[in-house]
Amino acid sequence: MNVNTKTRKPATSGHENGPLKAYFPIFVLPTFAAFCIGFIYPFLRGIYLSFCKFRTTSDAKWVGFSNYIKAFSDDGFFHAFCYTAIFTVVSVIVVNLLAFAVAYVLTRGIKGTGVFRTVFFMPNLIGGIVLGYIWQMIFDGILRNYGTSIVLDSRFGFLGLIILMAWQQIGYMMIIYIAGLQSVPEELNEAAKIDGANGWQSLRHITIPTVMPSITICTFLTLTNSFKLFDQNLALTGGAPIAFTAEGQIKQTEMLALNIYNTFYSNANFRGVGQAKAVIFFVLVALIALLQLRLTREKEVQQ
Amino acid sequence: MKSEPLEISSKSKLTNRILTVIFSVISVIYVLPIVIVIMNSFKFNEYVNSATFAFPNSVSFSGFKNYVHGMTFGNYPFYNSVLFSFTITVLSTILILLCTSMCAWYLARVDNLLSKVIYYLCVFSMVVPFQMVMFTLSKTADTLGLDTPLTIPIIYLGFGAGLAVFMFFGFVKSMPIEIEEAASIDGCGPLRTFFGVVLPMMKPTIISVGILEIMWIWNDYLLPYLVLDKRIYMTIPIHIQYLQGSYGSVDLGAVMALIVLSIIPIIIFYGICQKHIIKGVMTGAVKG
Repeated sequence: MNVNTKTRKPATSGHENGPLKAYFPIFVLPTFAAFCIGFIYPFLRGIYLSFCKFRTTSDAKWVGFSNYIKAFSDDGFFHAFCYTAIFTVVSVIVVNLLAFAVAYVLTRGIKGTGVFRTVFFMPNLIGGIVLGYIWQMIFDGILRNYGTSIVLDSRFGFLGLIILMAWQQIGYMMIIYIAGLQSVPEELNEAAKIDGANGWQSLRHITIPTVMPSITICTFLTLTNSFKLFDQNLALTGGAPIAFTAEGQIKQTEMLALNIYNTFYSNANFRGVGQAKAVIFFVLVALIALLQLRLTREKEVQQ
Repeated sequence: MKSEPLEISSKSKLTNRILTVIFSVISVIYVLPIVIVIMNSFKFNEYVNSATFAFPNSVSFSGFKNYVHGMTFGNYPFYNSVLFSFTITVLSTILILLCTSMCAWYLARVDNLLSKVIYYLCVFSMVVPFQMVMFTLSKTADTLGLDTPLTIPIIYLGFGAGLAVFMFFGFVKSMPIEIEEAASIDGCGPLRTFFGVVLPMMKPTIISVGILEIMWIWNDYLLPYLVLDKRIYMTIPIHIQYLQGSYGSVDLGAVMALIVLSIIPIIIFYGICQKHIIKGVMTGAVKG
């Protein structure tokens, strides 16, 4: 693809460029203007405000790094970070193992494959808020028999969030794994069978290496999805239960995105700290994306 | 020796049959949460809590009472939320598809510094989490009067442009330029070339991007919650969060009825374009 566009370049600049170039206001300007309103300005302003003390955007006062210092010394933020990290690791493993297993079975040509695929994918279309309340009702229906509730015990809050996440994401990742598995050449598996390889051996030495690109995609998709999780967290437990410490309170099941949101909107005096936390959050998400870019680039070079 | 392949295939046939049975059971468990919600939407409020997993019986069965009550419950009519969700999703998706496909074609075909800068800004925006801009974005939308269902599509276009431009750009780069050149030799201006030649060729990507945008906007909670004037405008996710989040005397039966009502459009949409949805997910995932 790259080679093609390069050889076409002279044609582009010689012929098409001329008349089209003047059409910038029609073709690009609407999107670009909206992009400035909806992204560029809020983003730059957000970085600036993270160094300010403010209640609304108009009364900002420069305070240097003090918001960042407050953010880093906030126990609740640290707890949310650790909680998010643990949740992310567990959900990446659970979702990917199960999605791969389901995809592996559904590419064997068993009866009912189409129906199973439809069923497994369906929860993915339901929004996070609705999902959260559906599962809250179910978990509380079970836990009530044991005299507790999902908002009372943080262990159940964690387990519930993992189950919810698995229910929602397995279908999505399954679709990507199925596409990857279908690209494994049939001849390779047959050759391995003739050479006496058993099912496990051909899975390990043929299937998994071939679907490695799908594994990378799915791992990073679940990684960012879990790390940025908000709606499901808000609806299922809303961060409850709360533990009271000497310095304040820590919401036991609050993830990073929800912690930032609560910092912003529960106390207007902490908006600067909230914005600083948001910048830290952005840097973390960007680091994950950079890591993914590097890993995929490396693979492309190897191939 | 000759019977061995046969033996293997009959053995794997048996395995496949067992797997079908196991997966049938798992599938039933998988849809169970939805079934439980539907069951509970036909029970009186107190039975949702005390007998969550029981079928509605002669005592607990409420008929369509929850549905009727849910419509006006919480001092906000639910059909308004449905209407606003629908309006916002349709308008935003159309606006995004039209504007970003035009933009991406220009960026891909006009090869100068400005195009490159805008393209890379779009790619960069895909990495930025919403929390980073949520406060400033909602204030900006407020200042510019973009806080109604008819104007919030501009915000969606702005914040969602990155992925759409990225996907269209990738597709245009793989499209042969000769057809466009032929059109312009025949005297077509850029606008006619785009709408007559390029746009029809983009159809598969339009469907993929469209489905990703619909799934995002229909289910989106935080952006409309922060941008819209909530006293006047609610969407379905905002409405459900509003009813459930206000702890205390929540009518769970009615909430379950509303959840069922909010899932029905999704199931219909899934039924109609299942193939496109799955294809859209695959292209979106590979590129994003």
